[in-house]
Amino acid sequence: MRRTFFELGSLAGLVIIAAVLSQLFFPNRISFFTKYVETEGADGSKLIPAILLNSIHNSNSQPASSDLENIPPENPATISTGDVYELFQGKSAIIIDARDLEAYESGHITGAWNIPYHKFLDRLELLDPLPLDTLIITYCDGEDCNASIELANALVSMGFSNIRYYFGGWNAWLKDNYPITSGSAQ
Amino acid sequence: MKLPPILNHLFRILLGGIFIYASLDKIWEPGLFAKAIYNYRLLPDLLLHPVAILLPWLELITGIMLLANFFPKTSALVQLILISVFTLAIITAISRGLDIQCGCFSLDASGTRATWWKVGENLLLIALAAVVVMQTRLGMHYSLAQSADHSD
Repeated sequence: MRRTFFELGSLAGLVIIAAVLSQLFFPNRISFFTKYVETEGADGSKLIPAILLNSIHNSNSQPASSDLENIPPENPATISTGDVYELFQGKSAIIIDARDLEAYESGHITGAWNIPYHKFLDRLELLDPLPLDTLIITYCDGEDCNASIELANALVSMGFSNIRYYFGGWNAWLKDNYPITSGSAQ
Repeated sequence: MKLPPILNHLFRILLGGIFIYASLDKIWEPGLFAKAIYNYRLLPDLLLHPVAILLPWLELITGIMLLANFFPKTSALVQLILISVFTLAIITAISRGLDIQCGCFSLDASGTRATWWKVGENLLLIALAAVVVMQTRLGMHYSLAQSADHSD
């Protein structure tokens, strides 16, 4: 038993040393402590781990003070239910449902497209005609899913510059009795 | 029951190799691994980064230890515990209806999903790790000890 504890301790020591060294030298390192960003949830603002977003929040390095005014606006950025509804009424944004086809067909925000995040690459042709500065809102079920954030990240990496993720999502939209449709995908 | 030494070596090397392979993507992309852990909704957010940083190194180091035949029993025991925890996490994810990426080997968006098929694969790995644990001894002289046992 003592031998087992000795070996476990040795393994733990090696793991800690290797992890610390990796944090010093690896290019893709993350901070040891979880960072958070404020996000519009169904019931007001909520903190989520910043690692979910491909944004300046994840960077370990701080921008030089002279560059501060040049930091681009957050992309993707969070958006509240009220703002989504306003854009929906003005038809001034493309709304994308990141859930799977079955969930989409059982009910979605009226006019929303369906691009399930994990089948994202199969539906790229839908995005081809869109200019890169198109305002796009992604959503999924709500605070218990993050397909909306993942899809938003993927769109940003494709070069889209005006992406919003609607973290309150389908549940928040339903709660406020905003227009919904059921049926097949576009 | 004692297995022939050649099978013991084969199983130990196979298990070590699988864990080394599984750790590489996670070590290189701890951010993506933290996301994969987050998707399971089991850990408090506070622990996401520490676990995403430490766990892949534990996989790599126990894998190397198994290949090098150094602390083989303890390394295999740690891996047995890890795979069991991962399998339970996948089962709870499926039972909660989460359609998420497994985060087991590849961290790409198109990587393996957390499915019953994955649970089946993990059960095979659990069996493999259990055999290695049962067939090895503590310490660093496993092969000599095993060979001596079999020559008796």
